[in-house]
Amino acid sequence: MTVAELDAMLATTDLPVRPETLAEAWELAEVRERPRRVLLLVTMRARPGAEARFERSAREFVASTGGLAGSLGSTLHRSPDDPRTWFLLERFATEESFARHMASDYFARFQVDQAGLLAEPVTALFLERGV
Amino acid sequence: MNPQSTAPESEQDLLDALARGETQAIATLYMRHGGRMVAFASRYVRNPTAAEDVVIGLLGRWLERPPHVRDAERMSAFLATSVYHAAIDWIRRERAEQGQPPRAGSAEQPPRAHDDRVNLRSRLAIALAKMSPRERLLLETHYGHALTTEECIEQLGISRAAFHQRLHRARSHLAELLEAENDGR
Repeated sequence: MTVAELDAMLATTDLPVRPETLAEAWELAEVRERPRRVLLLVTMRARPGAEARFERSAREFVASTGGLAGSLGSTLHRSPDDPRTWFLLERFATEESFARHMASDYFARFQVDQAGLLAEPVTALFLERGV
Repeated sequence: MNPQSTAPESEQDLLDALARGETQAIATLYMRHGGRMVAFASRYVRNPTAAEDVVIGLLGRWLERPPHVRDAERMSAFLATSVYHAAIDWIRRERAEQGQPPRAGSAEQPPRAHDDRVNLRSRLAIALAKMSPRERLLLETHYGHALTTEECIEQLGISRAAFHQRLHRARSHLAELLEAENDGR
């Protein structure tokens, strides 16, 4: 095999990289100041039998959030341990965009929907907050 | 993932809580390591907002499938490996969305079938295991982009000219080993 053939082969397959090499690269990564975002993790647990309706409502909420200026992403995840538990990861560019999200019609609509669909109060953890 | 109210203190507690699927552990991990995770992802995706996407995507994946890492001393390797692979996946998705082949320079190469890829990965692993750590580092830099050329030069303590010579030798060596592997030697 020639080096050119090797290059062609490795253009279609990843060369495995050792964890220790990546750990070295990790230490070399330069952590720079970056804009503070609002990043939150919300946990919601549906009432028994309300899972499908809750999922539909939550997916609509996620789609609406995605359309808000300043939303940098909203994703819904189902718990592997409890199919009634869902997580929302939401990221906003600024506190202002987060405030617009909280004041939006779709947010109010989701609050109303949740009232009949959730088994317990929502919990929210802020992973990052703007300043 | 299970909600939990107290933040794990030590790195070992954090890994244990992550493995149990506690949401507080995801939050703590991000608060403790998120800045470096984003910086590390930026090395590969070259865009700060995309780097955040990579890291948040990884958190989402961990919510659905909690990671199991036993040894807190492996924390850096675990995070680095996870973010690196998430970044490579992100680059591939972006290229696919733009109608580009998965890797730069792979346009002329037909895609491999799954069995071919598995077979090639296995042959690569066997060949790489026969190479020295320094040779592997050169290849990981050149093909895997794990380090920049400058970082690799620094790590190996060699000149730029020596880097290129040794890289060529390492590529030739890997080609020979794969050839031998193919011939069943």
